[in-house]
Amino acid sequence: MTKIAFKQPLETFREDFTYTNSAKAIKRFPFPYPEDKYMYSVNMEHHDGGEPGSVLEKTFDIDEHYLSEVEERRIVLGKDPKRFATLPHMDLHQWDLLELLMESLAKDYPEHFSLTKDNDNWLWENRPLGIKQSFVFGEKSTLPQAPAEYITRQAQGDFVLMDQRDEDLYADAAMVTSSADWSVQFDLGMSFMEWHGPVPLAHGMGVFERALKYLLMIRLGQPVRRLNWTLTINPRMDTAPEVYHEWGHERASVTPENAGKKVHLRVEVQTLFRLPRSNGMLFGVRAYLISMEDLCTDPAWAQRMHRVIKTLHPELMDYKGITRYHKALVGWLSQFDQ
Amino acid sequence: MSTNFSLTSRVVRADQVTPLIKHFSFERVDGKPFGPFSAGSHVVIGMNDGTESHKNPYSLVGSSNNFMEYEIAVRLDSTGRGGSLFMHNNIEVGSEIEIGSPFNLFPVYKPAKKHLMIAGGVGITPFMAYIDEMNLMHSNFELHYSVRDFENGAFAKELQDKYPNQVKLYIQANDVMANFNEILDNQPLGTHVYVCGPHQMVADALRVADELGWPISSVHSEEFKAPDPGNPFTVTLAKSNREINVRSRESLLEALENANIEIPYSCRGGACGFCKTEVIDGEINHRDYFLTDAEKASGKCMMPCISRAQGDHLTLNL
Repeated sequence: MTKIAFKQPLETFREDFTYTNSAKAIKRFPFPYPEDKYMYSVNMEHHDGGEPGSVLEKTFDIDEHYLSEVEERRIVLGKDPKRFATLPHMDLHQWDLLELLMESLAKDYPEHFSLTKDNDNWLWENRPLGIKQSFVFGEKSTLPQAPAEYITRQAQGDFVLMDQRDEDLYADAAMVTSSADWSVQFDLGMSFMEWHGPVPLAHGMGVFERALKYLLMIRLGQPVRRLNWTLTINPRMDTAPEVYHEWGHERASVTPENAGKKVHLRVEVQTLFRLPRSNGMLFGVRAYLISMEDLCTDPAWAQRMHRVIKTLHPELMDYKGITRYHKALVGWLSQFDQ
Repeated sequence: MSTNFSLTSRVVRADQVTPLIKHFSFERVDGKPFGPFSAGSHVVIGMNDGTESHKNPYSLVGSSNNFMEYEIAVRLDSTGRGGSLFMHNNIEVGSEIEIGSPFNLFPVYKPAKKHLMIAGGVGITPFMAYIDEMNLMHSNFELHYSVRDFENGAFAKELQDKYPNQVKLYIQANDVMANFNEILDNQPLGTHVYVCGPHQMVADALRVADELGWPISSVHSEEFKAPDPGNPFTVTLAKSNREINVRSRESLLEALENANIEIPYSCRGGACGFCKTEVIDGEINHRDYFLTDAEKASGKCMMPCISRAQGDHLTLNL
């Protein structure tokens, strides 16, 4: 039981971008490519732990950026409170999420979090944030915010609550302050296929039909996970369409000289949990950012990164917004793959 | 992808609530709580009567907030395959059985403006958890519950006492029959109807809903169908190079399990999809609700919990 050394002073994910990874964080970065060439696959596996110290070990990973990411979420919600959104029938799902997060964090990080239950009277302690909250489980009025908003303001990563009905999954509630270019307000209430409409190529491959069938059958206590990735310019967490004017132009700022510092690999550990009371699903998206420079301190990663980006399918390149700086990035990465 | 897991559990209460229905409560042998479940979930109860093992699905009854206990209600079916008979005659306080993890094929439709439940006989079981949830969520609900006579109405008194305005009992012995036309007509927009009970009652209710123009997406039903018997057949398992016999009264899934071949399952009635198995050769008699027509026509997969060979032989990719 070791205490996590949270970064102080808090790092920023905007303006002066002070976010960096320690050597330890670089070492545990979830490098996503199993091969030198990337294509979609339904790459799901059971979310039942991972190598000790890895980002997959715990149900919800807490790392050195915890306090900084919580502050970033507070800033985003301050500017745009609608990044947390819910439809009226999602109360049970929200309590499911609150319970899952509180129980998991208290179990996995007892030095930082604790949960005490006396029937429906619960006491939640979040020591890093100095929070001690007693409330009645199931009684919304006993918490300062809606249950899902309350607990996800104390968590790293985005959270989407899906309602299962009509053999489909509907994205009916969400806390999304660090999306890779999708809007919670636009997608709220969408079915699984509608939500994934913009993804190129995969529809023709039947990926989403297979994925949906698989997700509908996820059982209680048997969560699954997959990795997804994209590239982001600067260590910016909030790349939502709502603030495209703040970050879209940064893609034009990449040069062969600055690509190592500017371009960041963003890996999402995506988790899916069956929720016990609501029979809904939780879709967790925990994003990790690393600069090309830091990533390329590992020679094997550097070589593979070069090959993956160099051979990336043009439609995927467009979808992930890489086209504009592709040449500059491949040029910079080529030094590691001679 | 999903694996079967089960928890060894002990009967802590067994009450004969009607002449035909026995109500069981279980606790985990390891003393840990089961945890919450969603209304409409079922579990598979595994038991062994000494000569045969039975695995039957039952709806979870009762409060999803009582994490220490699972409750089920079992109707004695003396013409059935023996599972309910064994539960009635041999399972008592202190008995140990296996309980699988809950799975929900009959969930509450959360965005509904009103929930209209139609139950017949032991079909009341999933609605016990429904009503609990609806009460908790302050939802608008109505229950129409048909029983043969008051004595045979499991939980009838308890429901009527607790929800006098929302529960309507129909006692057939007193010639009070549920009129589905009246119940289903003139319901407010956004109402969802849930039907659970004997096959004929479910079919009647669904037919009336259809005649009244209910959208199919607002009508939900659940029936646990035990696998019907069929002709015996043999199965070749291509990967393990084995041959097994499926008897007339057992399902293919049961025959595979008796040969120690583990297949994921949940409902054991052709609805959930877990036990989907690849077929290499042989004509299939499909009896499930899960596979699409195209999948059935392809002849390349089947649901062994309920479907059988059309002829006397199948080759499976197992």
